[in-house]
Formats: sequence, structure tokens, C-alpha cells
Amino acid sequence: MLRPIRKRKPDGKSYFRREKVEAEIQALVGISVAELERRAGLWQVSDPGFVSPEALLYFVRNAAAGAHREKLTEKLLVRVARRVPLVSDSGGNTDSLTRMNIREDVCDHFVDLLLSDRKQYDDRLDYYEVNFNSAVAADRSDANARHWKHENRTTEIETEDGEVSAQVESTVGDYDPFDADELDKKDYRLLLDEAIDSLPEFQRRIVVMLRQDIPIESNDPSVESISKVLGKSEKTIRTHRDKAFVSLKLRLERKGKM
Amino acid sequence: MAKQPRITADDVLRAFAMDFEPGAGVLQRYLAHYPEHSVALIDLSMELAREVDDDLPPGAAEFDLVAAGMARLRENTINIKSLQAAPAKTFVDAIKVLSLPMQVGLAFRERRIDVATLPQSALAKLAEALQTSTATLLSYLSLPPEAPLTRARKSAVKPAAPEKVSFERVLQDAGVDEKSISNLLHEE
Repeated sequence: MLRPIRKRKPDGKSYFRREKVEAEIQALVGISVAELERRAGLWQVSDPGFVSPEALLYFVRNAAAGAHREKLTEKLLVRVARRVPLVSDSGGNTDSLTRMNIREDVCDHFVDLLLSDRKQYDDRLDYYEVNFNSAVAADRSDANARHWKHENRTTEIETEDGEVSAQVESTVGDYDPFDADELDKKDYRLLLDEAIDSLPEFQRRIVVMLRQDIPIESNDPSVESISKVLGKSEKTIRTHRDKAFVSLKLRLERKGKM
Repeated sequence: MAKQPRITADDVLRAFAMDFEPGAGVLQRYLAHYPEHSVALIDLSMELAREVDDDLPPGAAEFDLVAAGMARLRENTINIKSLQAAPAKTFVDAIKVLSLPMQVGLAFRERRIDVATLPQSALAKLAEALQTSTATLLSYLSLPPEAPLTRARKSAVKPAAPEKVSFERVLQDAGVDEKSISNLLHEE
């Protein structure tokens, strides 16, 4: 019987580990300490001996203090470090101090939780047993919010409903950054994320919502639209969407030629 | 997804992170239920949808982060010095994990137990409760026995130099019943 997780959802129901993870942990309980340590060090998901970070965390939390726990913890921290943004982008550019601070912040937060959990069960670690990558993504988001406001990041929020210039219109054409064929390619997805990161905040939020199929406008009051959420007219949203798409197109074309 | 009182922003954002599936309407649902967190939900969905290149092996930058994290974890691990400085309560609380009386906890603190007589399972459980390693606890218990000054001063007669005794003897002196002693000594 595995130790259950305790965290509850906002609606009061319990979180659960995924069935796949539960089965994986059950299977790993039977292997030797040395074998678990070896397999915890495998980093390629495709490796048949790969241990998921959710399962690895389970063993770290439930191991007695000592060398074994230390070895597993070290492997687990590698998994966290791999989920934080790199210091240089795909173009080999050195990244900002802010991004380095974000990396450190995410890892520090995870270490804080491990230390707290050693003293007394800390249910905040449960999220990482439910979905490790999403939990670290949430930490990245928290760290972004804390650090970017200290850096001079472009926050161009134009409020006027300016007309889209003919040049912008002709450049955008029927361009779709979320073309299904392109999104199938990992390299494209990496470059697209980087390009979206470079957009002004307002445009970035529009693009992020479009990516999640939020409509620009809706006649149905129960449907959340970009216009409603960002509190701007449909025209303003469309203008900034077009500007954002031009930026993405030009940036991705430039990167594609590199 | 009925709203409950006292739901923090963190509860909402983590719930969203756990539920998230790209393009599955999850953001739409959360924006409708939690409009007060809309900006944070949008920013979080960018991170949740972000591609992370899992094919690259971990590099120097990752190992530096790991080394820094491990250094912090080790700093916080209880070492021999911190065990020597720990108050009696630390040991008394820890011994409760083994459901044993406080006298046994004090015997551990005063290092009056012969380590050769300690069963591995009891040692491991106590080490965990003290947030240290079995090796550190063994090193601590191997130091010469010591009676705390405060208790020695309260004694009407000059106390004899403390000696190490068997774990079984400590349990018997503390009034632990024979069956429990037998279970403890033979537990794997």
C-alpha cells in the first residue's frame, strides 16, 4: 500500500497520483536500492529503465535519511533543473540575469519544499507527485511574475484602436503560427515559444489565449473571450493580434534562416 | 468545480496546472470560474504549454543548480554537533516514533546505550525521526556517555560516572513490557 497524497483540490476532492505512476512505484518497490539509484540517473524518457520524476519523488519522500536518500534527491534535482529555462537561447545568445535568477528561484523553492517536508509532511509537494512537469511549470510562472517586473521588459500596452497598417495586413495575410503541421515539429515549438516570449505583454497574452482556442469575441455571455478577459474592444484585440503575428512571422523566418 | 470559501490564488493556479491539457478548454473553464485570477491563469498557460527539450543531456548549468540545492539540503541535515546541542525534548519527541517512554529517549541523548546492542530497525527509525542519517546517529551514540549537568546538580548524592548499558536493559529500566522488548529486539 503506497502512502497516499493528502492535498485537496479547490472543490474539496482529493488529488491522486496517476494510475500509471502508482503502477510504476509498485513495480519499483521490488527492485534493489542500487538498481533504483542507477535507474533514477537515467534522463532520457525513452530509456526503458527511466523512472518518472513523480515516482522518484515518492521514493525521496519516503526514504530514511542517509546516503540512499541523498543519491535519489540529487537525481531528482537534476529533473527540476532540466525543466527551467536555459541561460542561453537557441540562437546561442547569453540570457539575462533575470532568467538565471528564475532558474535559481525555481530550484530553491523545490529545495525549500523538500526541507519542509522532512520536518513535517508538506502537502505542497503532492502536486509534483500528481504531475511533476506541470508543478514545475507553475513554479516557473510564479518566478517569472516575481522577477520580470524588476527587469525593463517591454510592456507596450496600446489602448487606442489604431488602424492596422496596410503593410501589417499584407505581411500577416493568412499566416497562422499555430499551423498543425508546423506544431508537430519540436524545433518549431521551441522557436515559437521563444518568439512568443519576445512579444510585448499585451500581445503575448492575446497569442497565449488564441493558442488555447479562446475566441477573440463571443455573443454567448457564458463564453470567456479575449476581448472580455483583457477588457479591450474586439478591434483592439485584432489589431494587436495582427501586430503580434507579424512579429512572430518575421522572427521565426529569421530564425529559420539561421 | 463549485467555489469554496478561502481558496487561495495558489490553490487555483496549481489546480489549473494539474488539470491542464492543451486546447482542451481547460483555460476557458478556469477563466469563467476564477476571473479574478485571469492574468495569472493566462501567464501560467504559457508555461504549461512551453516545449522543454527533453532530448538534451543535462549540462554544466543544470549540475551547478543541483550542486547548490544539495549543498543547502546537506547544511540542514542534522550532524553530530547539532545532535550534541539538541535539547532533551528533541530526543523525547523522536522516541515517540518507536512508542517508547521518554526515559529511553534520554538514554539515547546521554549516549548511555551500547550501540552493538541496538537493532538496525530501531536505529533507522530513530535516525529518521531525528532527521539525520543512521551513520550520524551511530557516530553520536559511540561518543562517551554523558549525564546532563542540570540533572546531576539536582541529585542528592554524587552521581556515578555514567556507563553504557545494553538497549534491552534501558528498555527494562524504563518499564517497557517484555513482549514489546522482544518485538523491538527481533524486528528486522
